[in-house]
Amino acid sequence: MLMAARKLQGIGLVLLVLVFAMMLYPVSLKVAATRSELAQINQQINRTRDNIRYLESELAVRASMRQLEQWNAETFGYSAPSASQYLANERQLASVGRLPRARGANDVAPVLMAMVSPVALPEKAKPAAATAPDAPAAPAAAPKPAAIKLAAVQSDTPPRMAPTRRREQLKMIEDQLLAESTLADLKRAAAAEAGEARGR
Amino acid sequence: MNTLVVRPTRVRTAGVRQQLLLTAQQRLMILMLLFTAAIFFVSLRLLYFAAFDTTPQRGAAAAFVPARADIVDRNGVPLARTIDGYSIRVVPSKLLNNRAYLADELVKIFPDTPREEFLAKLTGPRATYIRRRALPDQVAAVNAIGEIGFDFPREKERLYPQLSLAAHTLGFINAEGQGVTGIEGAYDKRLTDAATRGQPLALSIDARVQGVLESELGSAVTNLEAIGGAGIILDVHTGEVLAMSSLPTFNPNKLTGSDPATRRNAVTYNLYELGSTFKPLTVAAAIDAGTVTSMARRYDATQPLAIAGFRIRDSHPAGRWYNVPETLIHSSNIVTAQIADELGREKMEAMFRSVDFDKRPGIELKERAFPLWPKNWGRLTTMTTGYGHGIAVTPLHLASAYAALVNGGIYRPATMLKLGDKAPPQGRRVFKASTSARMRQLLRLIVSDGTGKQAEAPGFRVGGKTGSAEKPGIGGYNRTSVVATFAAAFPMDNPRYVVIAMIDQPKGNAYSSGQRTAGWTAAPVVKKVVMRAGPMLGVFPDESRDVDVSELTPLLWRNGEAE
Repeated sequence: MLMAARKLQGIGLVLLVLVFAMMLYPVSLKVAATRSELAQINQQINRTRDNIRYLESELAVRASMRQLEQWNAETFGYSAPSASQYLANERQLASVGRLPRARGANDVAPVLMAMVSPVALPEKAKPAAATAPDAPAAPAAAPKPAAIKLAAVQSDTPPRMAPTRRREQLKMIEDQLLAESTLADLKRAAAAEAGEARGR
Repeated sequence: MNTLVVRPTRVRTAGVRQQLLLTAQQRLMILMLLFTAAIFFVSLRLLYFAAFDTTPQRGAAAAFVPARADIVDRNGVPLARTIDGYSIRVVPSKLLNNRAYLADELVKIFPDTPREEFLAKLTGPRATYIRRRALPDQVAAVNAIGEIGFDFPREKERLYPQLSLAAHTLGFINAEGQGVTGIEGAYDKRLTDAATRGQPLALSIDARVQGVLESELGSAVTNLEAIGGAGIILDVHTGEVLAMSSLPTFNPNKLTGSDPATRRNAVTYNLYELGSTFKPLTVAAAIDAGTVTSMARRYDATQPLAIAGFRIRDSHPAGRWYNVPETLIHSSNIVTAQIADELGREKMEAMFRSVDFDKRPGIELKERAFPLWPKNWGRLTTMTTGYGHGIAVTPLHLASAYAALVNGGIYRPATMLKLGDKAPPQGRRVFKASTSARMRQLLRLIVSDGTGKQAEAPGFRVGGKTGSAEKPGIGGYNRTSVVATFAAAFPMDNPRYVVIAMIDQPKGNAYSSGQRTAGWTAAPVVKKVVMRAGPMLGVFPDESRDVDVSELTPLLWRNGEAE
């Protein structure tokens, strides 16, 4: 009995190993399959790269310097930019604008800044005050109209800007950019487009 | 059939039989062990393959490495590469259709080949190529004939995508795939070695600049009905060749049928007496040696210089005395000869040797000509070589010498390979830095006030020297055929590039206002090249800059008011 069991034990071990080997076999199969798949993909990548090279070469031939030169001579007619078309800095860029350069555009004196102030009153009030000592009858009446005028200027009319050079320049730019007729054109075009879109 | 065997007489004893049985069993045992061992090894090997095999799959890495390395320009634009091209082959024994009909069809597809040639190939005994480098369209058309006797093997072929661009620099390969000329010939090993061919070979050439140089030089050569031309753009600080053009040119993709003479690289392989372009070198040597100390010193140019039975004369005699700047501006042979004479033979020779005029030009190409060095150097030779006659060098020699003249006096050999981040070669001093600075002023004056006015590209501060050398012919110099050269550098306030344009035998026609001198033929080429290629090379025009020539301008004689 003991002998038989011992013999069976040997067979059992062999069987055990066999069972495990069989269980592991699919794993090895799977590895082999994946590996060959990878090899295939590698080959595909190589083929694609070859193809890309080929197409690149074709593109290079079609866009060769000679060809571009010929197209330029026949159709485009571009020529090398001249020295005046190169700008070294912002200052040069600013001087390129088509605006007529106002005299002394860059030297904005601080005096001009003072003149921009919307309150035109002090200048008008001062003469009144200055005249006061001359006319002895006036002192009582004179401050009153001045006060009224002050109120009127500050409340009703928008502050009238003093026409300075800077202002002139700005106006010129505005006129060039958005003239009345340009705006009207734009509006008309927009309306036409909108109508078209609705019509569709 | 029965075999009768006579039974041997029983002589053996039982002991002997036992012995025999034992040896038999022993042998069987050994055999079995051998088999077991073999099976064991085989299974072990199989197990190894299954578990640890990591050798690359067939053809995985090999496909990437081209059979011959690509050649690219300094910006990586491909100039030469190897691709799988199509070819068309015929196997006459397999042909099914009528051969005359097939020949007719082929002529329709390839009109440039005669019908007889096709018919001969179709009826021949062996399989032959109909086309080696066929276009895919042509292959499709031949395939559409529907003849099984044609096949279309794909072969590795060398393609030059830019066609004839830089053809002389690149060179070409023969049918066996070996490089013959140019870079293909000089770097054949590097391009085919398995270890290095994976990396493309980067040249110092810039394809755009090369295109500009070729187109401008080409149009000048065509319009002036010249027999050839040469052009080169050189970086003065590194010696890198940015563009090199030789005319007439060829298409390396299609060699058969082209004239072999067109394959000569005029820049490195043709020798010319480059004439007046040598004058700045002579003057620089004289300033360096101290024989010319003052720019204001005046020399007699009123009459031709008679020496050893030879008369040196000016092409436009002014009949007055010239100082040094005027000598260069008016390109006076007489005064340059005097300056050279004063300098003396030894120093003149030493200067020419220092800029390698006695060697082949320093460049990697194989096609390099050995200069024509004067055999007997006498006093007259010193004088004539001073203004570029009696010594013949290649345009590349001149370009390298001019680079040394303007870059502060350091001579470096030219190179075709991109330096990249590497430090430029050491070089050697051939002119003093102060001499170089003076020469920049003088060269600039020649363009702003002298014979080179046509080269004035506004804002680029071009400086240079014209040279119209009469070609030596039978029985002396030929007055009507000249080699017109313009050697220039820009921008002159800080020179970065040397440009040389040379036109071989231009005709004076309406294109050059009837002139055949360099000022009217080669100088405009330099102007156009600089204007187009300057911005590509990183030099932008600026009209507010220039080299300071105020100390020299009072020396110039203008309508008699100065002086």
